[in-house]
Amino acid sequence: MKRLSASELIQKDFIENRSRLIDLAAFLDRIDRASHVSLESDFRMGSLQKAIVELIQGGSDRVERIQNLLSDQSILLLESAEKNQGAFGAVQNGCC
Amino acid sequence: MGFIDPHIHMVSRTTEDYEKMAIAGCLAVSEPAFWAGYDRRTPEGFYDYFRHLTEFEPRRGKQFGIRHYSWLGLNPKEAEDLEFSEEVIALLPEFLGRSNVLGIGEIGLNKISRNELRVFQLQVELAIEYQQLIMVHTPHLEDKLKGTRWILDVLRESNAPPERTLIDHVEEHTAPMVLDRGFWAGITLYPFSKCSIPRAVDLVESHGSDRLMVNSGGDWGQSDPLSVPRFMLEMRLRGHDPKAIEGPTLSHAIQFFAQSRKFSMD
Ligand SMILES: [Zn+2]
Repeated sequence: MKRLSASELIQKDFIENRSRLIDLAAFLDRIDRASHVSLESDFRMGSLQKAIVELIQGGSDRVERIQNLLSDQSILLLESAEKNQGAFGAVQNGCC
Repeated sequence: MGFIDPHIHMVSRTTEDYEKMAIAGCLAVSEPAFWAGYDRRTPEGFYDYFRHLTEFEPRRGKQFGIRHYSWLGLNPKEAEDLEFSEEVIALLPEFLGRSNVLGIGEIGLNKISRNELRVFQLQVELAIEYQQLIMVHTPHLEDKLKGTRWILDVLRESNAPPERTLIDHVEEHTAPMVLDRGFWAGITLYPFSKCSIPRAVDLVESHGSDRLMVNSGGDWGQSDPLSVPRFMLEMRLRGHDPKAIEGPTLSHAIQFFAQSRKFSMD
């Protein structure tokens, strides 16, 4: 069997990804409607905006760059995890 | 085509899920010990859980022709209390001889604290002492990269054999460092918080599938016990031949598990 060409991949997955993009736009609009503070005031949304910039930069390593941008790059061990169990999806004190 | 789901928590799935998986071609599952959604208050709570994983689940799987294997250990979310952790670890040797136990797992890190790291180290040492395979949980989301780096450091310092160790929940930014060091890597196909099916196929296409296997990570969260056959379908739709599909969904798991004399597909 032959692997799919670019046009076959677009044919297969375009509609799904178009829908994801519109969902993301709707999410950002929804937050705008709910408050007039800037998106960057929440560390997660600030990271998301930086990730969107990466998305339009091009290159074939977008996923890895975005994964790294949303990752804790430090090596510090927590003194205790007792009251600190969850993950947020972005790094609180900024990163990169 | 048959498949193995190498990481699924059947304890939190229904008997109908076993049936659906069998209909979809599931031949075997392996179930690591994990967090129950609440912290257990006593080591005896773990004792009962280990019995469940080694007695009840194999019987449930057998009803549908699915071999059930398990991994025992203390998950990192409950590893903050060192004294408690040592009591749980002391229970493990009694269970390691049971016929469906492949090794120690899932052990690893969650928030990457000093005590989590110590408990992980202790369990890696135990696995080496008892010649057990190891299954490692890597942290979620923003903690995954840092946690994976620490995990690789501990495994190196403990001289854990990479060919007998599976590092799970790898994603694009952690798979290369795991595979480059000779470890096996698991990709967890989770609809939102881990790796999607199309991205998992991308990983296989970019890195090759050597020492890679995919799993559903099915548990009581939003997860899908049919993720592995859905991954097989995506590979087929993207033009991969049956031999290429078999690696990450069946034969690599067999190769890895067969290092334990308790594993058999006969
Ligand atoms: Zn798990």
